[in-house]
Amino acid sequence: MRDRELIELLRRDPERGFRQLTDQYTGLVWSVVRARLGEAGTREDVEECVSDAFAAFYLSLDRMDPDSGTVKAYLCAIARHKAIDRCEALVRSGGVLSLEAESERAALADEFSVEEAFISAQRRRAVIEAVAALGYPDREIIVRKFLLGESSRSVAEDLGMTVSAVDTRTHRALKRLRSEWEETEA
Amino acid sequence: MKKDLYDILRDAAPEDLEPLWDALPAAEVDELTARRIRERAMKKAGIPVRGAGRRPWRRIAAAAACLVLAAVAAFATRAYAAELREYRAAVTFFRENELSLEGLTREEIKEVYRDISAESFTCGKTAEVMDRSMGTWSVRGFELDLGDPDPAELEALWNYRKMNVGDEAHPLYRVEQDGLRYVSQVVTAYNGAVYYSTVALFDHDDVSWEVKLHDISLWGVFPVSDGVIAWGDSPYLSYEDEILVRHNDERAVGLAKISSSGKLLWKLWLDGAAFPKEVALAASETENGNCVVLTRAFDAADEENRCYLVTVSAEGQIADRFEIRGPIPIKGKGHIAALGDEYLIFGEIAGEADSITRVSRDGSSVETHAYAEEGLTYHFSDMISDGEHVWLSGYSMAYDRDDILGLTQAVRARMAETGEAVSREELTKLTRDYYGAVLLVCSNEGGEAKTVYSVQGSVGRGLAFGGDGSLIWTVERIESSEFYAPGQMRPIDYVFSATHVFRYIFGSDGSLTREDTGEYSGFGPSQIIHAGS
Repeated sequence: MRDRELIELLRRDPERGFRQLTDQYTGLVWSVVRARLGEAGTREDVEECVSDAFAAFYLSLDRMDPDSGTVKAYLCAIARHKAIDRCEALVRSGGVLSLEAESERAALADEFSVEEAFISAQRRRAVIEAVAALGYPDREIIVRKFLLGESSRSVAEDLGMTVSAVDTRTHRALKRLRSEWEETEA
Repeated sequence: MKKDLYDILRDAAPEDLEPLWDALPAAEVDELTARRIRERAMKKAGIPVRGAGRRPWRRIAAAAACLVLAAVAAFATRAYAAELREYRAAVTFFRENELSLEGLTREEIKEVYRDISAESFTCGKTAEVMDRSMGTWSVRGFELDLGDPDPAELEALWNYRKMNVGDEAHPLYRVEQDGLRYVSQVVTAYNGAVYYSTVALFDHDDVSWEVKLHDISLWGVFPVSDGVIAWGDSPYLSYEDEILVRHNDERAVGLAKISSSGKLLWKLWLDGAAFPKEVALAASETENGNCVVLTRAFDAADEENRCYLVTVSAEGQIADRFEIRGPIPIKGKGHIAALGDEYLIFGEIAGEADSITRVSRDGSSVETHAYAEEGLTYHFSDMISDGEHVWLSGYSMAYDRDDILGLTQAVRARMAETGEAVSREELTKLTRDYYGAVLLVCSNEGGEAKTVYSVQGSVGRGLAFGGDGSLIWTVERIESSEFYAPGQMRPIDYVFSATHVFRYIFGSDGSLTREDTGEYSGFGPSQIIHAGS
């Protein structure tokens, strides 16, 4: 179902709208939350967080402008934030947070970093377009590692690859993104 | 303050992140969990869930019904497992082919998967999925008619897509001979490092055989009487067991001959130039079954490029080697063909009209003619010799050399004039007016190449001889164009066009027939850069 129809249905008949919304997006929202929570959360935490994301989306429906973004974009952004919040809550309540992804990020910082306090929305969009233009599976690896903060080990397990293959592809993709960035700068 | 990719993505607006979520495959969530999530979310959002708060007797009745259902479920389990297997296969298929899952139900995903796998292309959702996935595909400018999609058009587009998915596989040359096609391609990583090259023989859509060459980065193939010869260089960068290897000072020209049945007969490295890093510029068969290779090496002492003509026998031995005594104006790769006592050579030279160079077989005499007419500039794509004539295929561009920005400048001027973006229809018309396919012939006598046929709004591609002596000319007709001004990540504007591929067959009896191949292709930025740089 197209976005406008879905939003209209959610407003007119919330129960049917919710059925349609969850039919279309539960799988994707689950992927976002599971990747962001990683080992910090149990299956129940993922479930709870996914339902939080759908509820928050519905409650913010009036603020959504279908002309500037899609349901998927808003829903995934909400899911990501909900997962970050839950991660912090889990750590506060004594849960263990793996620092694997954090240390990987630090090690890769020099491969693509910009010495600027402010990056314009336009240039940020250009970087996102360049990431989106990466082919399979590099695009998925970059999104999972850098947008959702997943570790190479976890990505590798899911994609049926070795950790070193994921790391090699990450290096290559970052190199490509950096050269495109430098080309723009030049 | 340093910002890494994580920071850049973290601070992006939700709508900007939209293109990235497609990268993430949707997880499989069982129905019970999905229902629990939905009901919990509705409760949190304050929406009453129908059926919640049932009376106890209803629960008892429901439990009894469940017992009956359990028995039925045992039978249904097998069907469910089969459904799950198909769904998983379908999702993997979507991911591998970069198809968008957006807005599709589970049933529709399977339906589209079945439709494409069976090559029927009749499911209504297939066109929708392909249209939505176009942004990540290579056929820019192509527009599907979603109201009434044509299965043949969808299939052609899908076949084009298959050639371009995954690692960057670059189909380089398609050489046709008696209905068979030799296709060579180089499979590279994003940084240009070469994994391997392949040469394949296609009989219509079926691959008869494919040979992988791990140490040659191919530039082309040409058929000979008993097979095909592939030519290229050792790659500058390659991946060997996933490790990046730089072959800086070891570059050489490589040739391989493959029999008609797909057996690698010989491989030859041309060494003999006095300078390192010799590269191949062009190669073709000569009339006596040998082949000739035009090579270039850099003389660091004189800071000059030196070009050579190397003749290789049908058995893979170097027969002779001559240095060419004069400049060969080729920037990248070119074409060579034998004509009488000479060779004709052309190649791409950015910003200038293509030229044809005549070289004597021993390299001692060199003569170059730039090829341009009043207001028209020519770019050649292919050349073929029948011993008496050399046929040239290419396209003319309606720009003269004072107006070097070419088509993109015309588009910009139109936008400035009207204050609006140029519509697709108008841009397509501008592009068709700008390009014209040309077929030229050059005979042993006279020397000048003459235009014998032209098709406005098209570009000329490969040439081949049919078994009955006919000349087969591949022409791509510009179907629709798209203006692309990326600004941020690329320094120049592009015009991309989707093209429809036709074959013009010039029979030895003087007849001319046009065949619609049913294939689509793309005409893209490299040619426009050539015109505009």
